[in-house]
Amino acid sequence: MLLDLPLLLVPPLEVVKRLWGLVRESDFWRTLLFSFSRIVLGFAIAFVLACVLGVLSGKWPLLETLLWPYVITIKTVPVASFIILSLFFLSARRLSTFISFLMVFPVIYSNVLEGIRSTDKELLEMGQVFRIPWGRRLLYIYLPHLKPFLFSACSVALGMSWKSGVAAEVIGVASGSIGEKLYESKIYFMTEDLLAWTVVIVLVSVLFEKLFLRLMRTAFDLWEAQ
Amino acid sequence: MDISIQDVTKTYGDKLALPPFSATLKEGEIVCLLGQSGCGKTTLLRLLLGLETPTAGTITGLPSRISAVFQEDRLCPAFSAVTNVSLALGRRVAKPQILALLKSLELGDALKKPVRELSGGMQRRVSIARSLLCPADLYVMDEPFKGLDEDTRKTVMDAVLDRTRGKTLLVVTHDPEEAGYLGGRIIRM
Repeated sequence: MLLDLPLLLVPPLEVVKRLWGLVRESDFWRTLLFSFSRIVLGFAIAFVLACVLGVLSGKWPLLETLLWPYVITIKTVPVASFIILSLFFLSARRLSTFISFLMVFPVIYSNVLEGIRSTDKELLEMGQVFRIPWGRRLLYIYLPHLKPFLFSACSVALGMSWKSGVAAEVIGVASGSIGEKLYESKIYFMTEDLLAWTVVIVLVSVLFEKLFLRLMRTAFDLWEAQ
Repeated sequence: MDISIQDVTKTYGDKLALPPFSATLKEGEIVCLLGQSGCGKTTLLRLLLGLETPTAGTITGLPSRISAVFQEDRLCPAFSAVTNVSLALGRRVAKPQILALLKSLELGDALKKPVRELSGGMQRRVSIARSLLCPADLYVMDEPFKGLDEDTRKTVMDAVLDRTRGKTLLVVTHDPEEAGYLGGRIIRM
């Protein structure tokens, strides 16, 4: 019965048609690039910073203690609160980068820290006895051990970055973003647009996740095969 | 310089891991430590390697350069034999020397494979090669020939004797034959 009410739930064929229509609009790619570049930038900054701080926190527990209040706050405060608070000091166009960063950082940081902590003690003792410099220990002992932790963290965090980033765009009504399109489709009851853009978000998110994980796996394989 | 171990003990909580032990290792000497499992041989080696501090007693005369073969292989599983050895040596030893020793230990076919794909005996030999190539004044080896077949064991023991000549060598073993082949002083714990 619901399928007879296109305003509420559009038949899948209509969504596909609308999606095809969207793809052919010049605005579509601009909108996609706008959101993609900002959300991925937030993810990339979080990834790098979380890896660096995770490794350093594993080496210096004091740093972990200092970061703990920030990490626990980011983990527990609802994303909507962060989005609204951030709008006081950030423009809506930059919001998705910041929110994506904020949501991804604790996931990767916690996993890296856990990986560092659980590194094989026997290998670390070997490094101590042979006086292997810390940089080399990081690359040859810690990094291979971090591999599964990084894959698991990135797999979760990539999806989160898209969900939170688009939520920030919707709440901030960032001009030229996917979030703005979602907001407009809600205002004008364009359910087929809402679902078509949702499909786009899911597809881009999944494709980027696959690509990023593939690149990371290749980088690890090349490093280990040296 | 001789290494002097005086009344050294090690306890973990209430558990006595090493009862009072004294010995002197003369510079350049080969010493084989024999004893039953659990008598504290590995603990003694860990004390010499600086991985533990004694609960009581003193160890003096330890050289600054010590190399080890651990009871476990302690290799980075994802990397090749060459990388594992190079990792411990840094730039102290040239690559041709590493390759030559690995080949002499019958690892020529397995140089580039990740060590996790090697057999237990091959991994053991990589671990021994790493220790032998590391320039040191004291070589500490905890059951180094465990898991090696008869022929390979002899080859490896010869390499150990050759490469550690003139240096102090302390070997833990359960096998009196091995101790006899190495030809050093035997200490029973």
